[in-house]
Amino acid sequence: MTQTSTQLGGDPASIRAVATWFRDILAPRVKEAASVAAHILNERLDAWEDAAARAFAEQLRAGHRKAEELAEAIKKRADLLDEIANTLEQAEELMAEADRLATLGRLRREGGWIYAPAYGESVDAQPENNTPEALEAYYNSRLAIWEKVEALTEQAYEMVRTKLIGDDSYDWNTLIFRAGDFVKETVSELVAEAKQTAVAATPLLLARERPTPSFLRLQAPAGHYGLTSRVLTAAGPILIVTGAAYELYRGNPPERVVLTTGVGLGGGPAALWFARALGFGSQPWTAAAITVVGSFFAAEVAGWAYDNTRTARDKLLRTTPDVDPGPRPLPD
Amino acid sequence: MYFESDQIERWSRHIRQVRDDLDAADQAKPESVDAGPFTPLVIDMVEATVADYVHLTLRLGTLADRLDKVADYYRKVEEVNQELLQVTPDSPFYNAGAIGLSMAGEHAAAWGLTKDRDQE
Repeated sequence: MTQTSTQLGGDPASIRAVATWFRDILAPRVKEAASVAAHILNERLDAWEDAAARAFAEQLRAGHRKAEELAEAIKKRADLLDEIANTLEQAEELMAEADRLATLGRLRREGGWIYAPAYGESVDAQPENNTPEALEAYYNSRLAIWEKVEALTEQAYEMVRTKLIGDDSYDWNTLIFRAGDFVKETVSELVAEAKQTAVAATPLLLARERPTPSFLRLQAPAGHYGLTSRVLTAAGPILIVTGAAYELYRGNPPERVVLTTGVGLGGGPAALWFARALGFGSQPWTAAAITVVGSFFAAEVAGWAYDNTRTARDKLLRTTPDVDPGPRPLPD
Repeated sequence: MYFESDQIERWSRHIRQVRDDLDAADQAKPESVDAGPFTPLVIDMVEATVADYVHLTLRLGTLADRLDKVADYYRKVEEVNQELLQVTPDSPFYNAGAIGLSMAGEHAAAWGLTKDRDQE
């Protein structure tokens, strides 16, 4: 990369203020509502008993449980907000350090970006100091500072992104609400899409409905290995699909999983086709080994490409619309 | 079957008081939040929580209203019963007391308190 940015907005104190509102105001009041419901339930039999009273008690008991759940949920959300504030604060400290280093290294800044140094740039105003050795040493020191700046900004953006999408504790939504469900639905859709791609890319899985493509037909003697060889040849793609679920479970970004899964699925058959073109892979176990290695290798290459061709900032901006949207009024 | 209108009314007042306290929490709400890249997540979380909170507040208000109606009705039944106690067994109104008691249940059903009563 030749440029990076330290742009990262947000005020951790304002997030903590919301957490405090949740924890100190909302949660105790909901808890109080639950306590009143429990109190009335305790007194009810002394004051009122008939069919209506029993129905009332049943409704009140259900309401009491819900209020207790809500009080706990609000406390958990307050804790999550505090964690978010801490993450943002740490990321901002990293950005501040990167800014300080960029100033120290006299790195070029333009339009909110910090640029990698160029040889001969920002040289000493005294020409007698600009010997080739001095210029080389100066460039190298600035390059070292640039690398440190870049590493700090990458770390800060990655820290924010991980908190946004890589943390399973965001299941706070499953209790009652929608944003986490949206993430889950999105993930499920991606998994379903990956599975559909798997079926489309490996016709062997639908062997009864579709003729086996010529490049996947095995030369098994008298068809003894027909089923076995088909299953074994699909071993690589099957492992890749299983691996996709595991990658999502580990918190890898869905778009990375889709990329590695798709490439991995294509990699197995491609490797087998190539091996057969060279005269290998006619035996079931050889074919299975080739597809497994081919799928795995292709998936790894795709993963490496994903990790190394985009900055952490690019990846972060795929999960949130803006790194510095400014203050927003709280919903009523 | 027995009931105490005053106690039911006290519950209603207690619930209404809690409802008002819940309502007042809005005054302590921060004006805005600047969560940087976390803004959509934080706003979603606040929206979700406020929605739940408002729902609870409304339900408590409805519960208090219903309890008020129940207390009013049972109070009327008590008044009828007091009057009937003055009537002799020979009076044509003697059985009205029992009818009044059963009507209490019917009216409670009408207010939605005995939803499950039909299933009993």
